[in-house]
Amino acid sequence: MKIGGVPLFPQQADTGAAGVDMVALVVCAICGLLALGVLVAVVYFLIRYRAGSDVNRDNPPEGHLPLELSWVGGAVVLSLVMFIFGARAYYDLRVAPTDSFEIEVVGRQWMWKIRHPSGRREINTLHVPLGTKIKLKMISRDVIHSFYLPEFRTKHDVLPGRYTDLWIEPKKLGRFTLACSEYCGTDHSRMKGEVVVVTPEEYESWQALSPLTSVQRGERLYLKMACDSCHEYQDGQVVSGAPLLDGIYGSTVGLEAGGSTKVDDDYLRRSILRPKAQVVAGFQPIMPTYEGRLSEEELLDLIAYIRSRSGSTVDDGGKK
Amino acid sequence: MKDYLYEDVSLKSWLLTTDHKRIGILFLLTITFFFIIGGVAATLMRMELATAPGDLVSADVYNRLFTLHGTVMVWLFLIPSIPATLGNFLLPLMIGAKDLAFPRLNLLSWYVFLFGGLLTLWSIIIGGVDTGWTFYTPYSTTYTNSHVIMMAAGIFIVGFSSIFSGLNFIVTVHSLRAPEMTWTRLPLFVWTLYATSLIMVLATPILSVTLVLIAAERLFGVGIFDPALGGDPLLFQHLFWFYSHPAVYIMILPGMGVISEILPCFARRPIFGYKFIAGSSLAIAVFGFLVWGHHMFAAGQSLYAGLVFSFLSFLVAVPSGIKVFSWTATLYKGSIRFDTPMLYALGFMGLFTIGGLTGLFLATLAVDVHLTDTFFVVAHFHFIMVGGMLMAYLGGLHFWWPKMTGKLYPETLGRISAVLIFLGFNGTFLPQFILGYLGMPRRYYAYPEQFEFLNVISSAGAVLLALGYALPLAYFTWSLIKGRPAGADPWNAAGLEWKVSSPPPHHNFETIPVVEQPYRYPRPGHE
Ligand code: HEC
Ligand SMILES: [Cu+2]
Ligand SMILES: [Cu+2]
Repeated sequence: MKIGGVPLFPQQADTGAAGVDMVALVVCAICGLLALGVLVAVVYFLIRYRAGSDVNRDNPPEGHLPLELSWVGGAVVLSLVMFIFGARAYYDLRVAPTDSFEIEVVGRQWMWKIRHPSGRREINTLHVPLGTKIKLKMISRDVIHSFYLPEFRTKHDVLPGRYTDLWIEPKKLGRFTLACSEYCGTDHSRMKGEVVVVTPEEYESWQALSPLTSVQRGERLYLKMACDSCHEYQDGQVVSGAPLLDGIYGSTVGLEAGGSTKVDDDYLRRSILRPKAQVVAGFQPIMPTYEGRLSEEELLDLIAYIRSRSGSTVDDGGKK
Repeated sequence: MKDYLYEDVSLKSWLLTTDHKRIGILFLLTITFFFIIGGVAATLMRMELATAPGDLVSADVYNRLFTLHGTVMVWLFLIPSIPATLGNFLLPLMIGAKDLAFPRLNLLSWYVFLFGGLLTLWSIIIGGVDTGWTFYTPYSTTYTNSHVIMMAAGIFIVGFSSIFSGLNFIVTVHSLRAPEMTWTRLPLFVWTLYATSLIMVLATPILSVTLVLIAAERLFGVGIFDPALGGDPLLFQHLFWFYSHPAVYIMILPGMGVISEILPCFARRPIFGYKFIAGSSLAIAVFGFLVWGHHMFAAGQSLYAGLVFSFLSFLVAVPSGIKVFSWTATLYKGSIRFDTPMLYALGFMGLFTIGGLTGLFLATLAVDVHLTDTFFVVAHFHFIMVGGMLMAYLGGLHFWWPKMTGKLYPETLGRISAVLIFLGFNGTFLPQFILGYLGMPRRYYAYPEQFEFLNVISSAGAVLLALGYALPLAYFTWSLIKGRPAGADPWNAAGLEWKVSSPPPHHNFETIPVVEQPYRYPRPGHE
């Protein structure tokens, strides 16, 4: 919708966008009616009861319990209606389908680094295939940013030290806005880019142009950092007292300090960066800390590799 | 007998006064000064945003401007605005007391405020802060190299002023009411001051602690919020909003109280629904503490936390709705006069209603995900804070100015200013709702071409708005010298404050005043 070249409504580029707009319209209708009701009543009273007008003013009511209770009741009911509409759509917006395809996003002052499963990388541009459910797994290298796609009606903050996610399902070919919506310093307003929605075929051939997949890069790193010097079996024997990493993804591990935890991406990240914080039950805290020695991208590669050893290609163990 | 203004005119008598009326005036002068500073920053920002590219100032300067604007307006203007000026001046008068319970604490509150305010200002003069008034971590603790600690120290100190005033008001309402001033006869303005004071006393310490934690992380590298040090950045947001959401009610409740005084006076009839209005103030004060998570629907808080906070946020809107309905019903069978305070009050009703209802968009989970951190939010809270609180503040000033100074201001100019502010305000902020839905993020120094048209309208509206604010500043000052004498009760109003002369004598009441039912309009024997 445009008036004189000025858009009044953003495009709907996501299958979920219409749903969000619908909820907004419901809220708009309810609020509009309430506002109109108050406006009409106020204007009517102002005109009718202006000083000097000749009308009946006997016994102005100072209260009216049934009326006031009905206001409370009515307001609560309308609130519930809006709440339920909003909550349902929110659930759909936040909970990514398990069969979605994962793309990684690393935010930093002031750019977005994007990595596709094939290993292809790009900066400030996100190529996505039309009609595919895509989950963006996001983390920040420095401060909080927010990955905002107005035409997709969604955003989520990108935090340092923790993965957050966002999912989309593009339904329109073309180029759309990507912006940072959490203030992050000097060039916050320049931390923007584009989402390019292409056909799945185009996407396939586009992402095929890549040297190594993240799993491959992760494997190399794993060997280079000598993780295998501890984390390998030899002839069915644990070599140096470190747990095997096969099949752990999505399982629950017991902790030396008591209790247990689910193995998801955040857990893996922590185990690599700060192993002593959560030591696996039955093991000694001998693993060195890798804090400061691995970039966020390298961590993502390692995690992708460890995940692949559990036969898992996407982050489905970490349902929050 | 001399009034409080002329009883002793030496500077020393002002600086050492313990008279709540004089302290109210001191606060009035101080916050007007801060309002002008915050306003200048806003003007520069609107000038920058009048064109899409960043051209007037640099990005770093722009970031400092919005931090300055937010910090100064929130802590040095809005929070103290009505409570510290009108509240200080009127609370004892309205309940038939000679002063607040702790007059010296009251004076200390002003000195503490002034000192903290000047420290905050100092942090701006020596280079400024670029974190936004929200100080989000780890940007504020690890990444920025601006003067965060100095500013945090200033706000930390200002917080004590809030706590002192809040304590003082609570004790005063409990212990110094005139014998016949029962709780159900308290003016609604007093009820809102009471509710506000509860929030000030309970919420402000959380802010103080949070600011100390920021300083600890920034100065000594204690890992609290920065994950690189083992902290959690969301912890900061929880702490910050646990204070700052209730603070929104510190900023709006007293305004609601002022409106509840003005409407019956100019509709010449008792207020509709006294008990519901009084009760809803307390309900807001209590529920207001349970909804902070609605600022974090897209911040990384769990899905279920989001659901609970959304639900509670809808509930907290109910008492505000009750107030609007009651005010509307107060016009029914009235005999309505359109003097300046009434125009401001009506403007308040319109803008506050829009502000409140657009808040429901943000309480609605899925819609908030799209709108949070965009200009929609900026527009929403300006409708509440400026459209609501500032309108009420100015309405209150126009209503009680004759009482405070003993002088009348030019009525026509007053009405013009009310209309100008209303129009200018809508011009400035209505386009921002659309900008937000279109996806223009807030705190953007440069923005895409397609948003320029709406931004130009917004900046043009701001020019009108600035004129609207300049007007009262001019004629209020003028009225001090040339204004006609007001007399004790120029509006023919109910309420104890109108029973004493204008300006009131030093000790307010010579004898214990006779208390009647609140809002006895039309005035018996007068009309
Ligand atoms: C010096 C030996 C050693 C090295 C080198 C080492 N680890 Fe470990 N790792 C351990 C031990 C011992 C544990 C179990 C105790 C604990 O949790 O700290 C462990 C635990 C883990 C866990 C948690 C496993 C679970 O079952 O929950 C992960 C994941 C992990 N390491 C990954 C790595 C990666 C990736 C590297 C290389 C970058 C690496 N480790 C290098 C010794 C090592
Ligand atoms: Cu940003
Ligand atoms: Cu809030």
